[in-house]
Amino acid sequence: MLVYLQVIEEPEGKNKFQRLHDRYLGLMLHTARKILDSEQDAEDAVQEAFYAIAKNISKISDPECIKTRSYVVTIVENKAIDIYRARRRKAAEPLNEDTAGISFGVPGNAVAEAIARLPARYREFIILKYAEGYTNEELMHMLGLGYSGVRSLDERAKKKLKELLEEEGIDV
Amino acid sequence: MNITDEMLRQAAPLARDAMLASLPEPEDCPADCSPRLRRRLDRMLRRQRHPALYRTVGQAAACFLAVLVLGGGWLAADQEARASFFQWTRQVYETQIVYRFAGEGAKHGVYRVGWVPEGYTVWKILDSSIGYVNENDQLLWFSYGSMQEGSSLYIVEADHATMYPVEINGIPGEFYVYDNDTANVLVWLDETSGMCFSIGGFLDEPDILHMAESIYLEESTK
Repeated sequence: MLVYLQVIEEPEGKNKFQRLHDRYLGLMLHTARKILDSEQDAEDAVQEAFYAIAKNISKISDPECIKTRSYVVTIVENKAIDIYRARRRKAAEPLNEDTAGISFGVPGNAVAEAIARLPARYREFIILKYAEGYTNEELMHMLGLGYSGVRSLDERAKKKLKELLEEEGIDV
Repeated sequence: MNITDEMLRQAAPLARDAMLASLPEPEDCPADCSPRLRRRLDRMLRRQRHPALYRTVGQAAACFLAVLVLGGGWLAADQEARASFFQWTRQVYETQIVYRFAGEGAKHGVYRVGWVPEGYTVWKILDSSIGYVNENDQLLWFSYGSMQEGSSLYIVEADHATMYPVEINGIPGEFYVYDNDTANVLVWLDETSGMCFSIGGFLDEPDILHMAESIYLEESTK
């Protein structure tokens, strides 16, 4: 019996993932810390986000562009909310489906303002799909969803957005 | 009123820009983190720099640096004395450590692992080894062999490894931790059963020991 072992050397050099790490680690930690009280939880969220980024590295073109920055922030927020929800389940606390995540406003545009007020899961999806242009198939991999999950999320996000606009008496 | 895709394509970028504007610039955010997170990120970075070290399921190589050869020949240039009955010798060369068996053989049972770290699934089951893989395409190998005449276990690139003595269910073992992108290796020799065991993987000491301690004999002889 032989257990085969070999090390294969690769040339050194900064690659895309390294550049993402160098540029966004601080921002990702900041974002996760805004959502999670525990430092360890925040770091876990950042770690999970980097795993997700690594798995989808081929979908990232320029590490410096706005699209990538938006994706990075969205993913770490997504992972932070996953951890937040898991902690609440573990503590047998009521689960708020409308976890807000990052809070911000968009004065001057009713629909954009309503997008900002969406629960984080819906807002993340809307931004990744309609602002950044990711396809449903790409979103499946990025968000860890099946095809029906992506379509369902799209429908629920739009439905919630409509509710928010109607609450404000806005007819678009 | 319906929310159309076009409506969203116009409004979503504004929301995105506002979201990013609500956060500091990346260069203004200190990247301070705990040593624990730092180690894990460094490992991810190494993996990304050396993707060939992390073969996907279906490819041949695993990046472990221990070779267990049963029934093979001796290495040259070694003058260690051998016992007539049951003895392993451990020889340290410049870049290799070699465990050699010189004695009567033991019958070979079938061993299995009772615990693997979360995220690993069985990849291959070979004659005397089991390979596991996780979602990051990291491999984890459990191997074993009976102590037969001519058996050898090679720990290569040992100049990059630090050895820590450990115990597995009361049996002394050696845990090799590498300072490069190489999987760690745990080796232990059970003279009672006449077996040599090794586990190689990108695990830290607690996980690799936990795995080692969960090993059990499924069938007594082959």
